[in-house]
Amino acid sequence: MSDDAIPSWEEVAREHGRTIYNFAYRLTGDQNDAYDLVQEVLLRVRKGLARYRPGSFEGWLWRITRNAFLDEVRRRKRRPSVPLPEHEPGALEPSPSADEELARVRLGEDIQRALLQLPYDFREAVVLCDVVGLSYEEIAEAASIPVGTVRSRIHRGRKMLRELLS
Amino acid sequence: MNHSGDLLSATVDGEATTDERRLVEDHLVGCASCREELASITTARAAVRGLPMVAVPSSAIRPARRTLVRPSFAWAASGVAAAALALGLAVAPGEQGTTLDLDTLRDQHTARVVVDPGISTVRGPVGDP
Repeated sequence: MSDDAIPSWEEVAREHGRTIYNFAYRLTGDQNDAYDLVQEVLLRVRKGLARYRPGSFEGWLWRITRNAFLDEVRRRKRRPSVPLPEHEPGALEPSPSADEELARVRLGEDIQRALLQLPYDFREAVVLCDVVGLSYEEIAEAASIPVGTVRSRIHRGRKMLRELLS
Repeated sequence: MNHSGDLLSATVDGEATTDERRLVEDHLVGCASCREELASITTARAAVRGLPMVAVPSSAIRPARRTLVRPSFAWAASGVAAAALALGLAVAPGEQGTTLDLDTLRDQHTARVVVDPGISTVRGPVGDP
């Protein structure tokens, strides 16, 4: 998306909804949480687009996304709710022909589990870089931190992740 | 000699300057420890990048559905959304004339419960739509 264009709400939903969903899913490991976050972010985008001025759209959007996510984390800390039930791995119904697919899914689950063990700041930096695909500059803008801090968080996050995976 | 540290990630991400990249390359020739660290972070980077993108349920990104309040989603019932629900106001810019009342919402909610069981039962990556 060009930095000069102000997208419509529908364009944001269409082009970024899936990425926002994956951002939340990889940070929480929970698809219900991801669903809720997408809706909240799109609501904030709808309200905020009128005030948006052409600039770094990615930085703007991901700052909104990150703030919505952190607001929800804070809200839940204040009012702990009943934890959502764990997903049943058995629901995947393995079959002999699906061995390869199952191995891939299990590997994905190992990576997801390791991600969830990272301290939030590192997990967020890694997810924004390697799942969302933002540049260090965009991550710095979204998280309101210096690029040097982004660099450090991504690197340390990856080192921790590698240890958790071994 | 200083080790490469953060510059290793910046280099593999294409975020290092030319000078920094040259510094890393020169350093790696004589430093087994940094070569090992490079291998570690490259593996972790590839692992996360290899995670499939999960499909987003279309109901999550549909304007008309935005007013839906799920029981577990109290944080959506803030400000404008709550007021709109109470008053049955038009809440979807770009969808002029769309009004919602509580009965409609209840129907939509029921529909979601019926339509969406896959969201909560499918574990992990579900691949491209």
